[in-house]
Formats: sequence, structure tokens, C-alpha cells
Amino acid sequence: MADPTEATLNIPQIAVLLVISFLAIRWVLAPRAEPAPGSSARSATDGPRANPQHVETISQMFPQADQRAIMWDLMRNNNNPAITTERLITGRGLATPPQSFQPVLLTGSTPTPSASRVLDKSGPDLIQRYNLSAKLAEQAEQEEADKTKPKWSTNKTERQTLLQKRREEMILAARRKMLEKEKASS
Amino acid sequence: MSRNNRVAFKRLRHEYEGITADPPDGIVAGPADEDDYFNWIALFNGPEGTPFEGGVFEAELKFPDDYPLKPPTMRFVHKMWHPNVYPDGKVCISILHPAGDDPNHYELASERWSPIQSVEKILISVMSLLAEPNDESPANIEAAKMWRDHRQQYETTVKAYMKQALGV
Repeated sequence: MADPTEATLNIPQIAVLLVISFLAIRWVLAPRAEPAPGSSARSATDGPRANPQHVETISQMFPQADQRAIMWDLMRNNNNPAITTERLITGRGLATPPQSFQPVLLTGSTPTPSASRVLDKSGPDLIQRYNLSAKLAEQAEQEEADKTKPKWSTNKTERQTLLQKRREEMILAARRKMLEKEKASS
Repeated sequence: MSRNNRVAFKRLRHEYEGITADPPDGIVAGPADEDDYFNWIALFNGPEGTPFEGGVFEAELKFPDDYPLKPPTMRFVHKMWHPNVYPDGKVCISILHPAGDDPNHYELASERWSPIQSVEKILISVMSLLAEPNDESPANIEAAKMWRDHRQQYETTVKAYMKQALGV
């Protein structure tokens, strides 16, 4: 037994030991922690979070929409991508998130959608294409009663008029039914 | 009018007459203009029991001069969210592919175009394509991915587009 310092641990040795034990503990704990990411403990501290998968899909469909706004909207509607999509499609737009809302944005993994994949929401709808705005108010029963019987006319002009009428009736009938369904479900 | 053109005209007029006098359920089709039988407009209802139920869809059909030897092309005039419809509206379906065997061996000759097909058969095939997308040859990759992996979101998107088309 010569120098007493040789028998005890010096500072670098203690540091190495600490690092090793830290890694060992982490290694032991990790497999148990991983199967439950975003478990109740985590969401309790972080609050509701936007599901990144939903954020990614919506961003791909609407590259012009701000990702922060998408996340904010998803957080506020309980992660229901249907509601966010609907808001974007109907052109109502998303609310501007407050300054304090600074989520981790998705980058890299999301490929930038090319122009051909982007769906533009412009262009006239069928009501505009067929100039039907004036006929929207017409009563349902009346439309049913007037329903044009399909028949072949030998007169060119009459044929065209009948065809146009059948097109209009089809669009108006579908619109009416859709409105009724909307009313019934809301 | 060339000889072929005359044949095509007669055939198209015959089909127009048939589809007008006895229209299949939920289909209204005919020339966009009586003076041009080679450009048609087809409107049809979305098939029941599918996300497309309740919608009206409009497509234009352009016929070649040598119809019915060659098939027409079909394009939706409004945007469609469907795995087999290109973002520009063009429909990808075997019945609209030229007659004969598929060089890639995906489709049977019987599924492809042949002069015994017709506008009515095309439209009925497209309606069933809406109900059952073909996963093998997606024309819209995003829609195909969504249809496969996020079915509920796919249906919501389809419905939102339908509502927009009807101005609801």
C-alpha cells in the first residue's frame, strides 16, 4: 500500500462511472418507455397535440395553407381532420393561431407537392356552369311534376332543349336532396 | 366528311338516340352541341352506397374520327378526388384503352375498348369505378394513398368536392 490516492477513485474515473451508469439506466428504461409514446402522462403535460399524420396529409392537399394554422385548427377541433379539410375546401379558411402557439413544424419528411398534384379550388360549380342560380328557389314538388320525360325528338332544336332541361333537372334535384340531408343532419 | 367520319357520325347518332329514348338510371348524356356529334357531355349520379352517393358528376367525351374502332377520351370538367382520375380530370379506365392486348399484361383484352362497347357501357363502367377504385394503376397517387390508408378522410374529401360542385 503506497499512495492512498491510488486505492480510491479520482475525479475522471467518477465522471466515467457516472456516464456509464447513466447510459446503462437509460438502456434499461428505454424499451419500457417506447411502446407507449404520447401516453397519458405525456399528453397531460403537453396538452392536446395535433396528430402529425393529419397535419402532413392536410398540408399535402392544401400546400398553400399555413402549417401552424392547420395544427392550431386540429388542436381546437380535437384532431378531427375532416373538420379542418372542410373549412379549407369551403374557403372559410383557418383561424390565425395566437403568437404564443409555436409548435414543432414538420419539415424534410414531407415532400413538397408538385404543381400537378395541387388541387385548385377555383373554377365554376355546376350551378354556375348551367346558369341555375335563378332556378334554385323553385319548389321541389313543381320540379317533380315537370320532370322531363326522356324521348327522342326529330327536331334538332327541340332535342337540344330537352337534353339541356334534363341536365338542369338532374343537377337541381341532387342539390335539393343534398340540402335536405344537410338540414336533417345539422 | 371522310368515309370513316361518316361511319362514326352514324354510330354516334344511333347511340345518342338510344341513350335519349331509353336512358339508363342516373345518366344524362348527349352531344354538347347538336352540330357536333364528336363532343359529348355526360352527367351522372354518384352510385348509391358509396362516398359519391348524392353527387352529380360531369364529364366530356371526345370521340375520334374513326370511332368506334378507337375509343373516346373522357375527362371530368370539375375536380375529382379519386385514385383513377388524373388531377386534370382525365379518367384512367381499361374500357377506354385501345383495343387489343395490354402490352403490360395488366388488363384482359375483353376489358379494353372494342367496337361492341358503347357510351352507355363506358359510363356504367366509370360509375362502378367510382364505387371500386382500381388500386393497380393509380392516376392520382395522393388520392390512392388516402383511399388505402385514411379511408375516412378520403370519404370526407370526396363529399366536400361534391358539395362544392353543387354549390352547397
